[in-house]
Amino acid sequence: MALELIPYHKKRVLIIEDMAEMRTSLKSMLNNMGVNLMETVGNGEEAIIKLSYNNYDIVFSDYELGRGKDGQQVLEEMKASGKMPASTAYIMVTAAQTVEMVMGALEYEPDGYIAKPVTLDILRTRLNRIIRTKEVYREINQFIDRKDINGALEACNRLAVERPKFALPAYRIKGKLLLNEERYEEARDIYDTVLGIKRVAWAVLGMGKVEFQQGNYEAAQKLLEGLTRTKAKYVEASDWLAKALEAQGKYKAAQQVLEQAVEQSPKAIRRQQALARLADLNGDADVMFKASKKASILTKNSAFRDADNQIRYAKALQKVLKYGGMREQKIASKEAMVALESVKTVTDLTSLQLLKCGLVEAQTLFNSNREDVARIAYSGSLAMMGDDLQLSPDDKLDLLAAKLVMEDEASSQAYAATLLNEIGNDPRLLKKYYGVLDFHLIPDPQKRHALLKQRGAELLQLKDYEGAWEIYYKATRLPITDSDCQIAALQAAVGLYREGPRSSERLQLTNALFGELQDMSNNDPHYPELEKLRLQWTRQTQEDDDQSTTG
Amino acid sequence: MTTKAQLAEQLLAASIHEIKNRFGLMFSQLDTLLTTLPLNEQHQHDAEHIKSEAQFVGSELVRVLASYKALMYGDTGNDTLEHDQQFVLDFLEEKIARHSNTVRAHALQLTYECDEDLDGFFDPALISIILDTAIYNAVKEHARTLLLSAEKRVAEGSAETLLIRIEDDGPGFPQSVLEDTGNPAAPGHTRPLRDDGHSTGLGLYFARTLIAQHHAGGRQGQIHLGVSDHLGGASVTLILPQ
Repeated sequence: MALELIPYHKKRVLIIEDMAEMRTSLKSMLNNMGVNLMETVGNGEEAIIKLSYNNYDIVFSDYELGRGKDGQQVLEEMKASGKMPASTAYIMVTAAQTVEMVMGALEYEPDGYIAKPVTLDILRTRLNRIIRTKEVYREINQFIDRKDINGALEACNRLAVERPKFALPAYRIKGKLLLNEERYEEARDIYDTVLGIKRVAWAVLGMGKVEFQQGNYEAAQKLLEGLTRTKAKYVEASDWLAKALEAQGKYKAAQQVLEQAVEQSPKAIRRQQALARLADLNGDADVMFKASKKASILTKNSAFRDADNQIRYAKALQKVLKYGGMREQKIASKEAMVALESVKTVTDLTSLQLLKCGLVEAQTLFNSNREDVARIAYSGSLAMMGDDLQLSPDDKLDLLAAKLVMEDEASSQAYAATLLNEIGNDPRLLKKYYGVLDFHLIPDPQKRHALLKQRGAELLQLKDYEGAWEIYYKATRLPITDSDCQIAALQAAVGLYREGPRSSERLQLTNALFGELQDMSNNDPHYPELEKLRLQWTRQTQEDDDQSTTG
Repeated sequence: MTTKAQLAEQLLAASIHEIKNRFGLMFSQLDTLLTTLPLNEQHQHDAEHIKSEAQFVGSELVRVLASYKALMYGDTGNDTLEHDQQFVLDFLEEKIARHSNTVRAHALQLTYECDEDLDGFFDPALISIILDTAIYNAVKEHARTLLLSAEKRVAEGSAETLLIRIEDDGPGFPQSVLEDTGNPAAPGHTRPLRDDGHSTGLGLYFARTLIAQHHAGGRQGQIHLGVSDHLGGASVTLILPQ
């Protein structure tokens, strides 16, 4: 086949590789192919600096880059900053070979990837192909770099007509450009056309985004759910699925989707930030802590550092600050203050961010035994609040958490009562509200037990077995728990098992709880109820066992 | 029992991944080391053999994992998406590049024939594993010339099929294998091990399990075994509905 030779001697190349041997080996192979203009860096941070201030024709980036940013993060940041021209060929070097393993590395769509071990033959073949393909899109990329989107769209049309083999990739680029330009109807047309020919994953994802942007959340959910279940696991589909679920008020499901996605691709910064935000909305302190911490670490020296996430991280640290061991407290106090200091360096903070930062700072200082300074910070932030700042119920719950620490019981309880009234029957906010009170009452088991029992009874009454189980089970772990509570927890467990969802962890906890009550005397007034529950439980779980052995 | 199976899969996947990575590193270090050594022709040839064997182990690990998954979960059938577009020429070119050590070690002639504009819809990792199996089988049978080719056929009713074929000049398949697998309507007919313990059967059995994961328009991928028209040896055709 007569293919034009690629003038490698004119190409400017950047190699991002942490291992010296691999760097040398790649350099010598490229040299062998005629590349003269080569620069190398050993980590992601240096790579970002290089890429921000220089233009390269080809970038080789190892996916794993030791302790700092990995190749995917470098690409994520470069794509977001727009500092890397579309004409640069970004090539990921991965250790993985199967589709699922590679998906994580390909999330931000490098121009190509090379699986290790890299030999000269493979490098030459793959690089030639990537450069030739890049050449096919050159005109489109030039328009994109000049920000001439209509020009780029027309170039896509031309490519599709002139080279039918590239019609689908051209439509793919077109769809993306139109989505970016918020031209949703035109994007819908493109995806409709493609899906009429082939049900390829990227077109389903594109259509899911269109449906979301046009407010058709259920339709978006349906498309995206299908995508997240497939083998090829498009991780990006999880982000949009979470958005579609959140828009429908399904906050918990949205959080679960992102929790699974971060397991697959833990270094995606904005996903960790989104997860921390959702966990905050759900009042899930543990997940909020993990995700906001991860995002905080990942965004060190990064353009993605986000004030809200830093505030959330400091907020999540309060648990350790208040109830952890001395050493842990000391570390957490320092971490929280560092996070809050980084927020203060942001120039365009909103009044709400300033307020939240101040409230968390006051709690941090208070919980670090610096009560005097804490009071100054607290009154400072309240003064900043003014009358025109509109607070959402979630913001008010943050304020309540601060009031419980900083104000006397009467005034914080009064605020709690007004807020409870405002929250009404919203289950998410109610859960969060009781979570705030419960957290505050940890040092007072009597009051805490009473609160949990009261809330558990309300939920059991409403047949919210999942909520009731969570609350009652927590109450049964307190040293002062009583049979009332244990029986109620079992009622919730039996109800929950009947209705689903089922989990093996809960099954074990329930069995253990029955075990704790096995010595109950048959004179105990709770005994008949316990026996009734035990019978129901045995019948239900046995039926399932039978089904699973025969089925 | 699903959790146990999932755990087993995770363990296997993680372990294979790790072994493959270490192996890859050893492989590239060996490669670098060899370039610095003054080797005579015989040693050079031996080195190529070692590299070729190392590469075989790497491919075998990937194949074990894929086969394990296919056997554990079979074809779940709920993957309603279609495969992404692949440019066949690029795919074959890369396959050959990945086998450059095999070629040198066994003095093979491994070539391809394919229209530049040919595209297809398939999972490249899956098809790659199956082609590796066929290539290593041919090498084991002392074939010297191998030809990879691809074409598209449109059957009645306009259903398209992509055919990827690998042919060799080896002794070809024994008649019993050709008869055993001659009926594409009964892919389960092949036994994992033949009575005489001949290993060809095992590789093909797994290849069949793997290709059954390819779906399009309600049709499944298949493998057809035959005699090469061009080279006289074995011919393995992957039939991939589009």
